[in-house]
Amino acid sequence: MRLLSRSEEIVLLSIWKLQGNAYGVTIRKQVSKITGKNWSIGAIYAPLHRVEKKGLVRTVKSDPLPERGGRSKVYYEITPKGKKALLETKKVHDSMWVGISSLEFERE
Amino acid sequence: MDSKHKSLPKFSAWLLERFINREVRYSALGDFAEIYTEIRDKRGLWPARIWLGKQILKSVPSFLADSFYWSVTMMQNYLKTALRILRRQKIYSFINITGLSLSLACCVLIALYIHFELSYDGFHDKADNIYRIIEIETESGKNRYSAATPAPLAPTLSQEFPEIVRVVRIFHPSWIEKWRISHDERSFFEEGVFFADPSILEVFSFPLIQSQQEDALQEPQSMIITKEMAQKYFGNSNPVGRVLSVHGDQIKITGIAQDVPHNSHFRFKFLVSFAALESPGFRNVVYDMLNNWRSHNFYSYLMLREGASSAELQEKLVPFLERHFNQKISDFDLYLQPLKDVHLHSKNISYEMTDTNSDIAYVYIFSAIALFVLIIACINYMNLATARAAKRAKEVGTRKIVGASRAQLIQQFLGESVVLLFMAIMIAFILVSLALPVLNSLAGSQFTVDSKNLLFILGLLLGASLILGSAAGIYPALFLSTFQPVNTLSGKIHPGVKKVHFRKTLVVIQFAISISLIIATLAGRSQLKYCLSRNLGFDKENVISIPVRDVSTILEFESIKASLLQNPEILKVACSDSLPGKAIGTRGFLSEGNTWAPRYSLFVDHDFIPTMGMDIKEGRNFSREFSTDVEDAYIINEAAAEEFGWDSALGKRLFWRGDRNKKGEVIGVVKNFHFKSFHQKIEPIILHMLPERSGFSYISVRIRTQNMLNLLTGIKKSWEKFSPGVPFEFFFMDAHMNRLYDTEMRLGRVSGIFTFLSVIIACLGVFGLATFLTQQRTKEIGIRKVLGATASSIVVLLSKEFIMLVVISNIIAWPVAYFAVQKWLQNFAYRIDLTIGTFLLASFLALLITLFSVGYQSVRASIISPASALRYE
Repeated sequence: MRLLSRSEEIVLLSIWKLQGNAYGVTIRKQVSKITGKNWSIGAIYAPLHRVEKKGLVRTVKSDPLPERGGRSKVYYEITPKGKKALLETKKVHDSMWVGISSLEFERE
Repeated sequence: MDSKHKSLPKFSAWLLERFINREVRYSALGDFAEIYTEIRDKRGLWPARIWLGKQILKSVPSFLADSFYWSVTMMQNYLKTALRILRRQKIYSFINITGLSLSLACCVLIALYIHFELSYDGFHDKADNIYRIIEIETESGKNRYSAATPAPLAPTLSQEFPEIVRVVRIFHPSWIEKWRISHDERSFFEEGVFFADPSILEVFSFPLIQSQQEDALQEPQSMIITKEMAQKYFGNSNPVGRVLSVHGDQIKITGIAQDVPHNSHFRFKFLVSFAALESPGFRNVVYDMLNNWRSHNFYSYLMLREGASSAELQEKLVPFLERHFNQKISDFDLYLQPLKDVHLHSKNISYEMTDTNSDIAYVYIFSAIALFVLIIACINYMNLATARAAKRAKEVGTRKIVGASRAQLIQQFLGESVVLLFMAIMIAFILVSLALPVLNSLAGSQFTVDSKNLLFILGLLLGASLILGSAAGIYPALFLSTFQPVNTLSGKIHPGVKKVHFRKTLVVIQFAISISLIIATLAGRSQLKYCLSRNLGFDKENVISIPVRDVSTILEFESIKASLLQNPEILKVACSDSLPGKAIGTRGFLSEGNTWAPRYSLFVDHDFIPTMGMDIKEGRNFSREFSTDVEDAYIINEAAAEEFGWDSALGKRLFWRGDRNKKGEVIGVVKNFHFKSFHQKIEPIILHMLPERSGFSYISVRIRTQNMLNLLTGIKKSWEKFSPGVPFEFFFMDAHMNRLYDTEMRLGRVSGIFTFLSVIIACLGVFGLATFLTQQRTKEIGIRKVLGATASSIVVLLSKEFIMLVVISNIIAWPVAYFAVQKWLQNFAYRIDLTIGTFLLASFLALLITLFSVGYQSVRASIISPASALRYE
């Protein structure tokens, strides 16, 4: 399985953390909070679209809401395949950092 | 729709819908609406709008990148599927890619040629305001066009008509092909020596490398040479200010010009100031021509004021002509020919300055061929695609049941076409690069693939394939995608079957085109053969001609002749002022019972007629026994006798008014001989003797030898003995006469190749079609064999259909080809009669090729064992 890109990883993690309350608006807030940067809606949907196509998340629709112009919220849920992908990416991260203590790194 | 967006401003919603990928549009639009509504409720309408504007600007790049990412991914998917299908159907792919790439390559090559032809003289900045003066002379209802004009014409015009900004006169006499150019001890005979007014640099765009544009030709004895010539005579040193001798006159070089582009109707190497012609050194070239309204030997170009109309100017010329030309004005007119028309629209104009002109007809012929080749390849593609329909019907049905929409299927089939085309483009590009040198050597052109035209070629390829793709790809895509799953899966209809008539029609079109091309090529070949081999009225074989370009040769002629005749292999030696196939000038003659008229005339010596092997029909040749022959004898050809209305020409009187007046009478009539190409009827010509001690241009030698090389060495030795320092040149009369048909030969070779290719492409198509149709009938063949059909009867059964199609194609092709070829043959005054044989041969060839293409499949099908045939499917 191909590794997740950084933006895909961030989006997936945010969805996981939001635990069932993950739709466009909340994901964007969460991602902006994690990264400390303000992400545009477009910037969220590019990775979101990719992970959805890869089958790492699936969508569930709420009832239509007036504040969304009569549209439903589209909730994103992580799939088992998505979890596996996240764990694998984490494993790669961990093994990459083995042998480098954060202190040592900062002193450089 | 409205209620959905009511929270978002309409325009923003519309804009976002354009940009966001369909698959996330719903969700993303909802998010925009939600945040927008929240800000609007909390902080008011304007902050919300500002937020929305900013957010859209920030998001659009990401959304675009997203859409692009997915379209690329989809393309990859289509590509993968398409490649898989192509690999699975090797014959089909091979036929299509070969056909498409060959036809694309043909189109690009032809387009390059056409583009080049149309670009002639377009590189001059002011090309649209430049006109060439053409004289129109009307004689007994027939118009004669001539590009040669008197020298005073252009300057006088410019004085009288303010709309003429500049005039240029150019002198490039047809009777002097090469000029002697000397530098220090070295001397060469050079072509491309032009004399022109200094205004040539303002009117035409011939960029100079050094020196100022305006004054480069101002000095009377100055000239401009091209970079190529500068390199030849002076190497790397700067030639400006140095002196070259032209025709014995010292001319100073005042500028270096870039080499003249190939798409110019005249290409100078040496551009000498017009004023130089007035120096004594050129007196023996121009005599009194410079101020003579009756001497038509100069080429006049006008540049009109921006916005001035040439038609209006032409109207005003009538009173002008009456004043200056001492001629009945009803018989004479001037025409202003636009510069860009010179190359392709000068077919009827004689006395041209150069022989580079082509004909717009060739542009049309080649465009037609390109179109035909494209059509043939398109038909292949469509035919094979629909023929395969039966095979793919099940696939389409299955896909539809699984949920594919018609749009998706169309996309898939178009995707296949795109992949095929793309491969074809790549192969075509390679073919073009490989074929260009071959084409150049066949067509005498100089096309190259370089950085300058690479984009042009690629653009052409893409353009042609776009046309091809939409013509050939869309039909099958639409057709295949209409299949109803119920019908195809239950096997109720065989979709391809309904299209049989359509397919047959296409095959007939294909073959009609191919057969027409074959007929045209065969007819062109026989006409060419006729031109090259028919008796010309003189014997062009075994004659060597030596151009004479130096006075010393003329003075030593008798000694050279005596020396040559000592060689037993040299039979006769003669001299003349021109030769058949070379430019022959007209001179004013008064013939008994007629009025003054310009007639072709040729100065010859006693031995010219026997050397050329011409036949005297009546009377006698010039003879040394009659010392008066030099002064008062004429020999005319049969055409002249007829034109002058003389039943018995001998003794009739002729009067020549020229630089010396000469009265005389006809002593002989020579049988008609072709002194021009077969395009023109043999016209009256008058032969008279070269006056004592006068110049001539050619020495002709009749030879009979087994060892040409030895003989030529011998001639060269005699030459060098009596004309020391003058380069020895010669040409063979037969090759020289054949060169008159260079254009036709090139056209023949090139169109032959394209015809061959179109036939190949059509054959490939028929082969492919036969393959699929035979496969479809495998079971039928098996049953027939079980029931006792012989192998041969099956071959006949399978081939019959195609042979019928070829026969029908013939019925269409014959009249079409007949009229086209007849039209082309009109160009020739002497031409072949189209015989049925040509048509039969073309049809026979087409039939043979068809049988060959179909035969393989039918024979294979007929020898298959019935058991395996029945098990098929």
